[in-house]
This record gives sequence, structure tokens and C-alpha cells, in this order.
Amino acid sequence: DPPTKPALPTTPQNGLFDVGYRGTSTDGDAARYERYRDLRDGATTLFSTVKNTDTYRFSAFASNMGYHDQRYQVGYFNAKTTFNFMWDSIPTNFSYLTTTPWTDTGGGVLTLDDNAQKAVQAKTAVGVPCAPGAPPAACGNPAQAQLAKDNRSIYVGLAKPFDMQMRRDAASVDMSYAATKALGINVGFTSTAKTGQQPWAASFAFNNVNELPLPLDQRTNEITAGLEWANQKGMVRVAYDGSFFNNNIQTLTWDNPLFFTDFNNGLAPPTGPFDPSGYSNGNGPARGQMALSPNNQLNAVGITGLYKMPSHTTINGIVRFTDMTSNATLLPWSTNSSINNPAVLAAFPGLKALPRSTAEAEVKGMNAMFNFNSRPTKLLGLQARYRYNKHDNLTPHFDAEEYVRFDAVPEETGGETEQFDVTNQTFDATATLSVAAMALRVGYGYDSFDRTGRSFSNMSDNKFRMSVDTLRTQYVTLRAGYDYIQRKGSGFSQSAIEDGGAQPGLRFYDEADRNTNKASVIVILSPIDILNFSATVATGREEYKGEGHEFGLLTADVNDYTFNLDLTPNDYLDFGVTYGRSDFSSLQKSRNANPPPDPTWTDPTRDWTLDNGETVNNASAYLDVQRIGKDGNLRLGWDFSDASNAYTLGGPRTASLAAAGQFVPLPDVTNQWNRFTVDYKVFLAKNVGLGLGYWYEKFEVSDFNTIDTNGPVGFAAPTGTPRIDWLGGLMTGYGNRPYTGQTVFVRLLYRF
Amino acid sequence: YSAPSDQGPVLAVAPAANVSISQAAPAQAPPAPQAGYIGTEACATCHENYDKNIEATKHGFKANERTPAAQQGCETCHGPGEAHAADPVKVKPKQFNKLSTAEANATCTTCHDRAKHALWEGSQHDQRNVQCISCHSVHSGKSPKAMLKAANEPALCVTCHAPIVKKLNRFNHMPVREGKMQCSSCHNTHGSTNVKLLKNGTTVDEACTTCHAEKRGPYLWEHAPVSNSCVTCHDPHGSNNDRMLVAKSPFLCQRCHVTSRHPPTVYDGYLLNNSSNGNKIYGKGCVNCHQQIHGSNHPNGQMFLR
Repeated sequence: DPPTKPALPTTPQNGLFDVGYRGTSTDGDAARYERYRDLRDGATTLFSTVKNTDTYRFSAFASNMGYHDQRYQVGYFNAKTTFNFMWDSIPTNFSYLTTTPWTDTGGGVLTLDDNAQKAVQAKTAVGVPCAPGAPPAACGNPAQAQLAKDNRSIYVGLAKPFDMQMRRDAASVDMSYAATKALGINVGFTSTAKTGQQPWAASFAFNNVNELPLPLDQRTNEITAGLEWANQKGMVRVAYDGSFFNNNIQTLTWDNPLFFTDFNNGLAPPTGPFDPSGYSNGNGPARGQMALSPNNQLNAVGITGLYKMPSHTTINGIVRFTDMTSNATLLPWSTNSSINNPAVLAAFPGLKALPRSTAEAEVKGMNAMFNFNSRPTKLLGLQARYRYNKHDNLTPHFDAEEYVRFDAVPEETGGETEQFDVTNQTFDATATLSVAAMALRVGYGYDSFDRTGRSFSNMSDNKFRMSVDTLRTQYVTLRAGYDYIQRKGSGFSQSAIEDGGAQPGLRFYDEADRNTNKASVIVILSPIDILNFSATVATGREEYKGEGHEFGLLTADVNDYTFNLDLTPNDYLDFGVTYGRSDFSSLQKSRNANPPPDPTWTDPTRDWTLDNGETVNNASAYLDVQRIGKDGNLRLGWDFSDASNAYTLGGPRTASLAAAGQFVPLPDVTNQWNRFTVDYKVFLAKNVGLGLGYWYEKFEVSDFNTIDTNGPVGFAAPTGTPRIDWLGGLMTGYGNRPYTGQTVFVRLLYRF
Repeated sequence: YSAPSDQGPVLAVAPAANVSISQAAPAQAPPAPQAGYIGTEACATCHENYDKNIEATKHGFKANERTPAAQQGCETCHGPGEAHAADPVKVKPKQFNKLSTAEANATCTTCHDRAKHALWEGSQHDQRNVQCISCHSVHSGKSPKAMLKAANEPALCVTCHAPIVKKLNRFNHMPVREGKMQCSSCHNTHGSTNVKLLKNGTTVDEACTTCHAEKRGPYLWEHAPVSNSCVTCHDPHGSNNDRMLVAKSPFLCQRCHVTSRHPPTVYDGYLLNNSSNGNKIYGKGCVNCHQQIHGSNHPNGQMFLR
């Protein structure tokens, strides 16, 4: 018998108008509810149409017209040509609860109220508080901290509320032309603008941290072009890719909340007129300057080939050359008048002029990959891959031995820039034995990384793997895999660790010797056509135990389970439910010490550990009912995620702090997210329908990073009312806050 | 994965490309059958609706000489049907769900061997015995694009990649569940020159900076792990840590920075609330000062403070 015929729509449809009204109500952090979308009250629109003829096809789509998440698409193709256009806006809504005393005067310049700055500098008002009337002083004890909390900064009253929002608008066009059956050309252009604001840290000292709304005005233009020829024997493609990033705000200049004029103690170098401890106590400049993302560009050309040989054998490969450059004009060493004066510049001659005026940054890349793939018999498959990737940093060294810290203090403790070159070579071979409906695979891979600027000049991975995969049969699918990876470094440079001021027993975890074990099993059961059950179990462990490795990340473990059931009793009903759990844990070790020759440097009683354990439970369910009544569709969905993250500090240093009454355990960081959605559509007449929708989301979070914690040790749940003047900080109030959001839709549908 | 609930009103109908199933173009004269071939119309006498279903897709666009419709119709993929038509019970055409992976995929890659499919052979999915029909259904695709066997990409990919797809529902995530990105925004499941089947570039960094070009540099001052791989610090699939970090700040930074004074300090509740050192643990943690952690072009950018 022929197989079951595929269902066709009951009503012919070439397009759809969908207009309606949306209303949203939010309690709490409304921006978080809208994170990447625009759910404002108002009209909603969706338009969709197609036109099919013998010679061409055309489609158009538009949604959320006029909103921050609008999207427009047009597609066309005929016998030879394909054309696609898309305009897509993606908002990122950080917070609508944010306030800031800084005023954006344009061009990346953020200013504070002059009189407030003067009052703080004269110590007649609190600035960034740790002790009222005496900024900047340390909050050395709980009493001082409480005093600071009780006395708000003068900037609190001057702070203006604003919505911290960012938006991407991307327009893309791509076209292809089939010159002949074998030869094709394709070109594409994408232009993406990023505008708005984002939270940005702009600190002046250890106890004078600030968070600003950084203005964004950036654009990235991307061009791609390819010429491709293919027939039954093979394929060749030559391609060019270019990406050009342009930042219209490359410098941030912002006022210091503590000083209206540059700090000047009237002394001569080396004790003045700047404060040699200004990087720590906040006695700094009237304003700071920061270099924002520089204009940059990437150009790449590559050739890709594929050749088919007898015995089901193919080779394919690519060779690609890239060039990344950035040549932005460099900012001066300092604009601080207590540094830019003849006496200080005589003491720090390196600060008289920049070694060069522009970055002259360049990285060249050479990349190649070749695959050999053969199935000489139905039983045996052989695959081999070689991959070469060279990242060659050509940026000239920049001497910053004498430099300025936090715009406040000239020092001779800087250094030269480093170029991080990487050459990565990969060889990988796999043999596959296919028996019945099962494929057994054994593979070996070798990765080699030659680098400069790191503690290991070479790092290599030996990778062994095996897997069993069945073909999807009516009843059961099994996919199981096991990987063992042994990472070993060579060319270790102890000085590369110690020159950076680190403990000699530290190993950076992205290059440290480690053993990795990973395994996963996926089972999919379909005992009857209407039922599908799957279970996924995955586990992995990374163990860092190379020679001399004492500090840093030591272990990381993950265990993951997912169970899913889908039920489709007939063409009109779908139901599914999923439950999953993920457990992650890690152990890291550190030593709280001052640099040598201070005895704490080698004192093991200063050691401490962090045991991090995270558990995430998630669940989801859906129900789709089609053709309720004559022509109605109902969709119900529920998603749930519950996470708990524990931070357990241990070791002798923690014990000694506890004994001194100076240790308070960190609370678990938790969040729980629930989403419930209903979407009902019904066509009351042949072409006219009604749609109703309802979304509900509830998010709860408790996070000590959130700055409105309160209480003696501050672990009450977040209040949702941001406090922007925290201990030694002047923030925007952006943080992790709970919300409950509801959105309803009423829509009129017209199909044609 | 609760795919339908992700659609919402905005995507409640299929975008235009998949709407007009029963309004397909009028049939052109079919190509002249070759020996052993009987033509699509003959197939459709028993396999009702399959012809109409295909007509609405790119496979059915006869004007394009590269499509099956412009060649032998159904038999382009399923092989000559004459013998099957003569004895439907004993002689079967090519049935993809009964072929070996290699045989089934070879049929598809006869045509799909260029552009994004060029590197399928030897790719990770090819190695793991994944069939084209594991993910695509030419006759009854459920997705607006690419004839996927699920309504959207996450709902499809979760079949094998559950631990990854589940992360999309974590607190900090890319806009996938909002419908603004999908798995193929970053990955080319058909093979790529990059690791992890990343679509763009040849390194993780190159792939990420396709969108995050402001972090591409190159910078005067570079942070070693940044120039090696973004995923040393970030989990792009989702995380319960701010900015999709793989661990919470300041503890993530403390995995590597065991130097002196403040980097290896025990940051606990006591410091958080009773000291100006609290600013190293609240808000952005270490990045409260080291904002330029992705690299700096400031002459004083050595510690990424400017």
C-alpha cells in the first residue's frame, strides 16, 4: 500500500493579515521580562504573503511593525536568480529601574553636576560613600559600613531615571545567480547598527567604582562574495569575506564624582602633586578617559574544494587567509594636570609622548583543512582530517613601562604589550564499522597548539573516542559515545607565571595539563507510531593535575539527565513533556597573600578553596490541538527552570577568618523561571478569524551580586528598589531582579 | 523542548515561504520520461498529495534546472518507478528510511554538494551516522524553512543535544527562545571549517566576533584567553551567571588570578557588606574596574582598567 498521504491545509491560503491589540502588565523588573523583545501596549501586526508562478516565486513577511523587535523579509527566486532581504531589529532591554547622575553631553562625554562635585571635593557633602563627609575613606569595619549605608550620596538626589536599552538593527541582502547548471555566483551584504546604552564600569580607584550608561553608536558592514562551480565529480568555490566595524564613539570621558579639579597636593615628585596612593584611596583626576572599541576590519579570501572519487571516496578542503587590522588613534597617557606638568614629566620621561600615535594592530591568519572520507565497503568507513590554523599577531610592541594607573598615578610598574600567537594543528582519524543497523566508531585525534606569551609554549591534546550509533528504526535509536582527552603542556616557563605576580603553583586552566572523560547515551524509543520517548544521560569530568599544579581550577564535573515524552494520537493532537536536571560542580584553590618577601606568600595557612555546586532542574510541556470545531487551533506551552548555585569557601584561610569573626558564608544564588503561554486561533468564516493569546512569566532571583541586598550582612531578598550608592560605588541600579509579566493579545485574522 | 510555546502570536503562522501549499504553480509539462521512468503524475495516482506537497517547495520549482522537478520528478530521488508501478508489492522504489546512511545521504548530496553542504563528507554529523532524513522531511517538514522535522531548530536539535538546548532556558541566554536567533545562526550542521561546526570563520573567536565585532580588535593590550577562545569564559548557549559566564564573577577570574592582594582574597559575605572591597564582588565584580577585559587600546590598558 502507498504510505499515508501527507495532510494538506483545508483552506487555500496565499497570505495572512494579522492585526490586533497587545496589552502588557509587569510587576518588578519589566525590562528583564522584555529582555530581547518589545511588548509595549498597542497594536500588533503580522503580514505574510506568497506568490507562486511557473517562472518565479515571491514571499514577503513582516511582524511587529514599528516596534523595537520588528522584522521584514522579502524573498524571490526564479530559474536563475535568488534574492533575499531581511531587516531585523533585536532590542536588549537591560533595565527600566536604572538611574544615573551622569549626563550624556554627546560624543562619549558624561558629566556630573559641577556644584555636587565641588561640594564632595570640599568634603561638605558625601560623594561615593564610605564615611559621610569624608570621602574617600575605607569602610574598614561594620560600623563604618553601616554609617555609609545610612547616609546617602549627594548624587542620589541628582540621579535621573532612564531606560537602559540597546538595539541592533540589521539589514541584509543576499543574491545568487546560477550562470549555468554548474556555475553559480553569490553575493551578500549585511549592515548592522548597534545603538543605545549599555552598563559600563568606569572606576577611578579601588574604592571608587562607577557604573555608567555607555552611549553606543556602532555599525558593522559585512560583504561576502563567492564564485562556485560544481558537477557530479566535484566542486570549487572561491570566496571573499569582509567585515568592517566602525565605532562613532571611540572615547569615553567621564567626570569623577569625588573631584571637580584634579587632585593636587602641591608637592613635587615623587610624592606629588598627584597622590601616589590615588589609585587606591580615590585621590584622582577630575575626569577619566577610556579607549572604547576601535574601528577594525577583517578581510578573508579562501578556496574550498570537493572531489569525488571511486569507491565512495571524497576529499574536501579549504585554504583561507585572513587579515585583521585596527589602527585607531591612541589616547594620550593622561589628561590629568597633576601629571601633565614639566616636573612630573621630567620624573617620568616615558610619559612625555606616546611611542606611536596609532595602534598599528594587525593579525594575519592562515587556515587550512582537508578531509578524506571513504567508504570502500558497506561495512567500513574511514575518515581523516588535518586542520591548520595560524594566528600571527604582527602588532608592534608598545612600551608602557611608565604608565598612568586609573588616570591618577604615574608609575614605573607597567610593561610592554604582548602578542599572543597561536598555531594550531589537528590530525584526526576515525574508522567506522557498520554492522546491521549499527555503526561502531573508533577515533583518535591529536591537537597541537604552539603559542607565544603563555606559560606553556606548546599544548597538545591526545583524544580517543568511541561511539555506537544506530539508524533510526521504528522502535529504537541508540547513540552512545565516550571521549577521553589528555592534555599535556610542554615548554613551561615558570617565569611567565611569576612575572605576572602569580603563585608559582598556579596553572591557567585553559592550558593546564588535564584529563577529560566524557560519556553520553541517548535512547529514543518509538514502540508505536504515536509515541516517542527519549532519554539522554551525559556525564563529564575534567581533572587538572599536572606537575606542580597547586592553584587555580582543580576539577570540574557535570552530570546531565533529560527525559522526554511526545504523544501524537492523531493528526490533530500533539502533546509533549520534558524533564531534565543538570549538576555542575567545580573545585578551585587559591592563597590569600601579599607578594614576596612577605611571609604570607609561602604560608599554606593562607590557602582557601571554593567548592561551587550548581543544580538546574528544568521542565517543559506543550499541547497542540488543531481543528477544534471547524477550524480552530489551540497551543499551550509551559517552561520551567529552577537553578541553585552554592559557593562553599573552605581551607585554612577561611577557617582563620571565621575564628576572627570576619567570615560570613555566601548564600546560594538561586533563580526560578516559569513561562506559560496560550495561543488560540479560530476561523469564524472562510477568510476571517479571531486570535487570542496569553503569556505569563514569573521570575524569581536571589543573587548577592545584586546591589540592593540589605541587612546586617546583607542577604535579604532583592527588594526591586535599586540602591545606586553602595559601599565605594556609584552604580546605575542594573542588577538581577524578579518580575512577573503578563501579556494578552486579541487579534483579527484575514487570510487570502 | 516546548517548541510551540516559543511561537506565540508573532510566529503563529508559518512565514510566507511555506504558506501556499495548495496554491502551487500550475503544472508545467513534465520532462519526457527516460527508460524505466514513469513520471510524477503516474506516481501521484497512488501517492496522493505527495506531488502537490513537493510542488510548493524548492524541490518542486520546475523552472530551475537544478531541481528534481526539472529532472525526473519523484524518480530523481526515488529512482525509476516503472517496475514498481508494474508490481507495487514486490518491487519498491528507493525508500530512504530503509537505506543505509551512506546510501541515503549519497542521494541527497548528489545535488546538495555545494555552498553550505560542501563539507558534509567527514563532518561530525556524517561521522556519527546522522542521515539527512534524521533532520529533514522533504514531504512533510514542520518548519517554515529547510523542511525540518520539528517546528523550529531548537526543537529539532534537542533530540540529540538536550544538555545544550536546555541551557537556552537559563537566566542569561541568547535571544533564541525569543525567536531572534536559532541554532543555525552560529552553526552549520552540514559541515564547517571551524570547530564545533561553527558557521563562520576558522576559530571560535572569529565566529563570535561576526556579531560582536566590537570585541574583535586586534587590540594594543590583549587578554590571553580572549585571543584564544571566547568560550574559556562564556557559555554561548546560556548560563545562570551574568553575561553568560561559565562561572560567577569574581570566582571565574580567581580560577587564574592567584597573584597577590586583591585577586586571591576570600570574597565572602563579610567583605560584601562591610568593606569597600565589597565592590570586587557586587555588580560586575572584577569587571567593576577591569572593564576592558576583552582588550584595550589605551596606552595605560595593561590591566584593562582603561
